[in-house]
Amino acid sequence: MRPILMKGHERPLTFLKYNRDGDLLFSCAKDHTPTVWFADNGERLGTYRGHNGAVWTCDVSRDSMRLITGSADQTVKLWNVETGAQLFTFNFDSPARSVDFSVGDKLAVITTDPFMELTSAIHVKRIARDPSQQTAESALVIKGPQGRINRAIWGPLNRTIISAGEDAIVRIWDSETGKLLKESDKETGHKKTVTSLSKAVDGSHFVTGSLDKSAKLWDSRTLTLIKTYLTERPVNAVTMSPLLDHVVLGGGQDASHVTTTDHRAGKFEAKFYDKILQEEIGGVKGHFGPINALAFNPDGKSFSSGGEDGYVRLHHFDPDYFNVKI
Amino acid sequence: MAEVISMEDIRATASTLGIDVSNIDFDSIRLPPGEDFGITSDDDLHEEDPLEYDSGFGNIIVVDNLPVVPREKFEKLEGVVRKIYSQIGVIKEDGLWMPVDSDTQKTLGYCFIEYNTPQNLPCQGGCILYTSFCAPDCDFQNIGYWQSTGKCLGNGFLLLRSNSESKIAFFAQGQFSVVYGPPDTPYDEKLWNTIPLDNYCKNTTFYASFYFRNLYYPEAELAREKTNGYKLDRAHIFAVNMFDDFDRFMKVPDEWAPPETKPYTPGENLQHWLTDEKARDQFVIRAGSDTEVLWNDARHLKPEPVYKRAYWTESFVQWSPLGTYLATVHRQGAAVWGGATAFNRLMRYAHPQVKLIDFSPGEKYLVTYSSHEPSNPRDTHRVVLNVFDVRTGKVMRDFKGSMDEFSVGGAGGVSGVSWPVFRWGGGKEDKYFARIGKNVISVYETETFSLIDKKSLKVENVMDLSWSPADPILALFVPELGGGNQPARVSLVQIPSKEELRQKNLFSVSDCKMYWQSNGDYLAVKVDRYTKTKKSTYTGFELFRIKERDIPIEVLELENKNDKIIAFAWEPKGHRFAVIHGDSPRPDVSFFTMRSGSNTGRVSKLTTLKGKQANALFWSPAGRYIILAGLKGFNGQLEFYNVDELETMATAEHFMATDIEWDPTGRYVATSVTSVHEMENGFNIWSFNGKLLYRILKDHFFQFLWRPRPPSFLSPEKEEEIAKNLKKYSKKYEAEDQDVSMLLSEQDREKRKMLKDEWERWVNDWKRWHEEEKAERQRLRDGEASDEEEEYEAKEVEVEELLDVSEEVLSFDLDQE
Repeated sequence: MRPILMKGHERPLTFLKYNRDGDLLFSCAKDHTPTVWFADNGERLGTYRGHNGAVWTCDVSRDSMRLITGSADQTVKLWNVETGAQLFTFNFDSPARSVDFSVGDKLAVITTDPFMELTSAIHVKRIARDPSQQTAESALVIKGPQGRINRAIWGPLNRTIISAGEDAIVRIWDSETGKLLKESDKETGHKKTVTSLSKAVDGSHFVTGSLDKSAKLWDSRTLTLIKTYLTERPVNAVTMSPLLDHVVLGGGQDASHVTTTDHRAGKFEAKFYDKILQEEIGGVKGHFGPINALAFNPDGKSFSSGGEDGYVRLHHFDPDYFNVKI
Repeated sequence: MAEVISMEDIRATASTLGIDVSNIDFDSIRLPPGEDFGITSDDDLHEEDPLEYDSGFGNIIVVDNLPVVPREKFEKLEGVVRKIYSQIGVIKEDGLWMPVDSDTQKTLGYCFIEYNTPQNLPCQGGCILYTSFCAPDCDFQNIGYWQSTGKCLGNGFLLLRSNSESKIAFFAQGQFSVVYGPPDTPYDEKLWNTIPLDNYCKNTTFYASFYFRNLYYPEAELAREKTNGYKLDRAHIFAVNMFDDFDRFMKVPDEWAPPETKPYTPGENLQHWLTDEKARDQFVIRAGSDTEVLWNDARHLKPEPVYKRAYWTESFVQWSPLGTYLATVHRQGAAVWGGATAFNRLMRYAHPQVKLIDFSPGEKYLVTYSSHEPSNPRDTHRVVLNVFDVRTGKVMRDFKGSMDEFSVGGAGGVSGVSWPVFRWGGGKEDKYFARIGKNVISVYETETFSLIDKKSLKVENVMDLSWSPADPILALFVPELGGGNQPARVSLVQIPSKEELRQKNLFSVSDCKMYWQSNGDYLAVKVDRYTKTKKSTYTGFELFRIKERDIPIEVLELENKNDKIIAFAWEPKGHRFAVIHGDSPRPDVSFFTMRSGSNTGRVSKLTTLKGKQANALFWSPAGRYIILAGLKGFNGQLEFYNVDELETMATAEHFMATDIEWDPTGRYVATSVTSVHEMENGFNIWSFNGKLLYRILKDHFFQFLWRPRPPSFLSPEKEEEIAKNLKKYSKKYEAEDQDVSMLLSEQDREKRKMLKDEWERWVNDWKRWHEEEKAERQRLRDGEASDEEEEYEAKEVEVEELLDVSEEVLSFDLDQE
């Protein structure tokens, strides 16, 4: 079907997130204002005003009441999804790169960038049910990995935290003690910065995308490398279909290297791979800049992509898509 | 003398101590000061065994034919001699000795002069100035400048010490050889210091070859060169010799002993790749630091590796024209590789800082080229060219001179020499090679490696020359002279008679380009002429029919005279040619034939394809098919065209393609994107009719080269016979193809099944875990039991809702029917 082009952001997109029901789509961009859209028709529902820097990431609670956003203005904010009101602000000393609610939405894992003399860190915060009781205290702070940590998410049952970033290594930490439990192997793992990390609906496995032009699928519990998807471009964003065995990779030439001759030179496509056979099965073109963010609707019938070009493209699949046999 | 320890002993000792030798980093071993573990140091070795080296009198010369003078004139003569010889270099203190006959008190008519050893040489006597240490996979990779003596300790090891750090490296015996370096290899300290020391020391097997340069006494050599034959007066003409030469020549036995006949050892089969059962072709690729030779296994739609090596070459690789050798280029020279099973080094050609190489068409000779920065920045670069015999490795002839001498004609001047400097002629026999000079063409023959008739061919202002690919015929182009008074001309010259076969004068010419057909049947000369106003140019062709009597010339002009010619190409072994003409972005492509049906003597047009996105032409080596390619600005558009049927077989695109090469049989085409672009690096293999067979991506992709094949032994009649009965022959291959494709699909199915099964296992595992953790998850969610919702299932539910039921009576009007 014709994609819906959602023009609301003025700067490159950074992150996309559907709520659990799949009726709302939250988008973050470098233009300071996270936006919420109707996931069906792409209509803009509202914005969340208050950040004073690029917004890198967001997550929405299971009941679609709370939104958490992390920004380069060194804050992480909690919002009321419905009213757009700011509920709480966590202040840090460096930009926040990633946020993720735990199962049960009682905890959130936040990563902060290395900044000035500070190293990067993973913070765990308790999220109070009642916003008036929210405190800024960290339940746990993990430090160690070199360089930026681009993404940290909760492992199964909130027992672990899975992180990955500039040092190309995927790590599993104990979420209670902060102890490093597992590390990906240098030989088989990624060779360059891991840019994105996205887990399956049931949290059993996750897929990472890297600038080394590959995406890899790992077991969440054992950190076993299960699949590798090779592409021709640095990967900025990955997601998995909740419905079919498909993995979608987005990326493209680094914006600073983009040629001016031909839009095809950049390969700004969202590429579909067979999750099991690791073979490319198709692509969705459209963006005229690298793809920075990808998200699948939880119903698996549509997905959206956000690009360096500042647009969100919302794609509803044709019926044919569900009958693809290879 | 040091005790001799063999590698076996070391291994045995190590294993008793529980040490794995292969894991030891020899670099990390530091010997305590004063301890040498019974291995004598290099300095001691010097004193113990000086006979290992040449006598060390290399800086002494003997001057003969001096006047015999009495005592009173001794000092005067000595003064004269000293004056002559101190101009060349610093004579050592007491370095001039003129013996005197004790009976007559007269000199003996000769004297000895010893020069100071040059200071820039770090060691004296027998020392290694050049070593090349090679791990098996990095030939010519120097790992350091080794200051002290290299010495074989009995049958065991070689002891070496580098100048930067005191390190001891061991080398297994039998893996090294000692080579005396070429006499004029300059010592270049800068070069040595750029070489990384550590990388290669860690490997366990090494071999080393040594260039001993203990005879490098430039002053003595220079003195001999300059003053030998010096006329002091009429009666006294100096005869100057190196002192060492006396020794050497004295040692020559008086009686001739017949040389030993070595038993014949059969060499490797260098043509082995041609006997491939599946009749595949090989190619070499270079990506990153790896160089790899592969089979093109089109049936299996993938390449099959043959041989791979990291750091095989330091700049590029090149096949010899018949595919026998693969040449690699290094700092110290070039090397060729080949053989039946692996690629072994067959020969090395020493040429420091070699930049370019060129084989003769019959691959008998190899021309190497280097240019060196002058010591004085205002001078032009110094150019050195060597012609080697490929099989023996001998230098057949060398050419040295300034860049100016070698950059006449062609592009000329700005970009330096136009390569190849020497153009080989006379077909595959490698009989002649020619070079263009100022107003002169020098043709050499390979029998003597000297100029034909001992003199060059004088041609005023000659700009370009080109050999017929088949016959010893040279085509020359001389531009207009004297402001148009003397017309430009193209002439054909027979070699070795130097007889002019044909000449054509051309007027108001701005430029000429010559294109030979591959059999030497035709020569096309593209002539750019000025229009009357001299403001613009238009292009025409002069077509020479070389094989016909008197070499008739035909003039061909395009219908639209103002069309620019973008590309021209003869059909290999054929009678047709293709031209791209017109204006970018959509020029036209025209095909012409030199013999059309009834009228064999006239060129005629076959067809014109309008508005093609093409700027380069690639004929299949077997003729008939051509690729019209749009490289560079056209992003890699490809059109596969059949010229027999005059129809397009396929159009395709290899985005950003930079290079296109047909395999030598004309069955497959490789298009590649080399690292001039940052992205998309890799290559595609296509069938001749434009079907993409497979695609390989490689970062930092530098080179793709098909291995050439020697010409077929089949006679043209036999080839025709085969072409006629192609059905009969192809049956067998078609059956094979089918088998392979069956096998492939079978394998593919199996692989998929395996992957699916494996995945199934994971999914089951996950489901089990998910189930097990269900209760825990519910607790985390404060009892909210909605796991089911997490796994969506697309269910189509049809709901029929009855909205309304109404009845209406419709009236029929029967009359209307």
